[in-house]
Amino acid sequence: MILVLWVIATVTFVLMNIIPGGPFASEKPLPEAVKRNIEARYRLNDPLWKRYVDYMGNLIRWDLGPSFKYEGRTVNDIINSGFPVSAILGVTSVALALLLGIPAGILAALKQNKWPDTLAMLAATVGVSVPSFIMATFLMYIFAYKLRWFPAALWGRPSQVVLPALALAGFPAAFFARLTRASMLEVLGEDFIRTAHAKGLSTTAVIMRHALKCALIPVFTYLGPLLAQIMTGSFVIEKIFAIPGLGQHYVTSIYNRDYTVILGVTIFYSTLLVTLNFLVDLGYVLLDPRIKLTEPSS
Amino acid sequence: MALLEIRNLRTSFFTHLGEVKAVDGVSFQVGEGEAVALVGESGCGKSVTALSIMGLVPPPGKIIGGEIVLAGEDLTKLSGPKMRRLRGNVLSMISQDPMTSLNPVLNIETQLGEGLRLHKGMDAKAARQRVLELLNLVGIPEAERRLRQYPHEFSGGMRQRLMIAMALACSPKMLIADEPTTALDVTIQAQIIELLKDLKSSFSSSILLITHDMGIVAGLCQRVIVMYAGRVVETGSVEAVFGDPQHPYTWGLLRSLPRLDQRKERLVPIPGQPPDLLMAPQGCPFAPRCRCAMRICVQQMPAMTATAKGAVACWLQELGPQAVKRAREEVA
Repeated sequence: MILVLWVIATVTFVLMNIIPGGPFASEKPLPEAVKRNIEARYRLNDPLWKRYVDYMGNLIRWDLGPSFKYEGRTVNDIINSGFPVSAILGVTSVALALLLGIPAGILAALKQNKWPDTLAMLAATVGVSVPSFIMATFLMYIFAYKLRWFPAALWGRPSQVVLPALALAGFPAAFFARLTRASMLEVLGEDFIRTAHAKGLSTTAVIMRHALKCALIPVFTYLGPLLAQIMTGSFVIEKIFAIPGLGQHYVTSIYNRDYTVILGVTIFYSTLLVTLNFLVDLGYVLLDPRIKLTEPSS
Repeated sequence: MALLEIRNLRTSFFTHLGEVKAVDGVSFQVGEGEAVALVGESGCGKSVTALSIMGLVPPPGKIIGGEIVLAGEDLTKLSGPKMRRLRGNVLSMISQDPMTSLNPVLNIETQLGEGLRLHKGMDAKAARQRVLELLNLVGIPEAERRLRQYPHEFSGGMRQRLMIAMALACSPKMLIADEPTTALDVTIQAQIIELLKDLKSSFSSSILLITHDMGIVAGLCQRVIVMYAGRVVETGSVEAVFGDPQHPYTWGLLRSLPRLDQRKERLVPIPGQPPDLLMAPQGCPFAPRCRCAMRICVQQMPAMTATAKGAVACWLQELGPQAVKRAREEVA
């Protein structure tokens, strides 16, 4: 895990320095003295290897350095202020996606080839194919402009979470619905479902106790990467709804060649991804007793 | 009176190719405490008969006629919830493949105790006590430790023991064992049959044993029902069917079975295939494979006629017992 993070940090560091331009390159050339001063302050005139070693040293202490573009703010500050916003938005939308997608998938599987199935799968196809920014503008138009139920933008109040979360949830909800339907159909054909029926259990008990746990294993797999991806923020959605999340900073930092922000956010994102995947792997053990975390010995 | 009486049961599968008459007018009885074997080749409608009794025929299958009377109640007319109260309680089933019939993600205690809590209203503690008893009964050692284990931690034979324990949990009056030994290897098969024999005497349940293996019938059952192409072709006591079989199909089944008392004899398979149930033949379904087939056999379906020790559906009966015996010797 540490190794993976080190590789990611190194590759990003190298790539970043290969790209021409720098944080202080602008149309109007700076006076030579000013430029030297700035470079000295941010230690940009050190040789590459020294900067790398310094950066890695700081990284171990989770000190991501100062931002080059935002005066007086460190990368840690940016992550600390942006991430909670993105996280709330992300968790809400993933929860929405699960709440919408899984029941829709179960319903579709139980009513296979009947109208609820057709309807759910139609909605899922729309959900997968309509990009989130189109969804966002639609939601804004209907719920904020026409019906005036929710505010159109900005951040702070709970009601302001609803629309962006819905817009972000579209794709994963559709994906979950399809995944749940497919694995549910597979599980419902298994012999042990017949055994459960033969015990005299009601259909609801058979589905909730016997089928669902098996059927949700593939859904669970997808949850880890999805959470990380959504929690680090969707740049587009944050931009549309003017939300001060992490996604915004990530993209602007690349335009700005804000070296430390690029690196810091990338490493933060990777750590989150690796951690969540690890947690998903741990969660498997709870969900599927056939998987055991043991040393592959003998 | 019989515990289970099936009258003219007809179960069909409505596929896009047409109606497949999997069970076509089957009638038989199982008495109180009696063990009856239902034998026949694969695809002759044995399992569908079992599923019809359980009320678990998978779609597109449907019971389209007949009665299944269990202790005076016609199961085909029961509502869903009423049928569920019987299933797993009065009427239970051991299925064919123990490897796939247990839920891989639930532990043994949950799976075995489920029925007890549902039908007998036991709490978790009482159910656990009963599950422990059951595990001991079916010969699973270290029951206490194994309660928390999952199906993948058991061997095939042990899993079949679990299935049996599960089926017996609520002390059913009627136990249907659908090929309980087919998926197991031979030494384990013998153990499972021994276990069923022991349990039969201690539980006094009636057993309907479904199998294509004539070898396991004699040890466990009193009566045999031979099915072919969705119909009953011969019934009788074990001695009658094994000692003096009347139907040419039964002869074939018995000759395709290895025997210890007759050495050096080659096993003879029955030539040909069972008929396509989509286009059921007009006459006797076995006629195309029968070496004694007469003209009438392909034209008209023979009715069940009583014999000395059972009943058989075969035109040879019209020629008298001597002719049947001669025909049997000729074939052999």
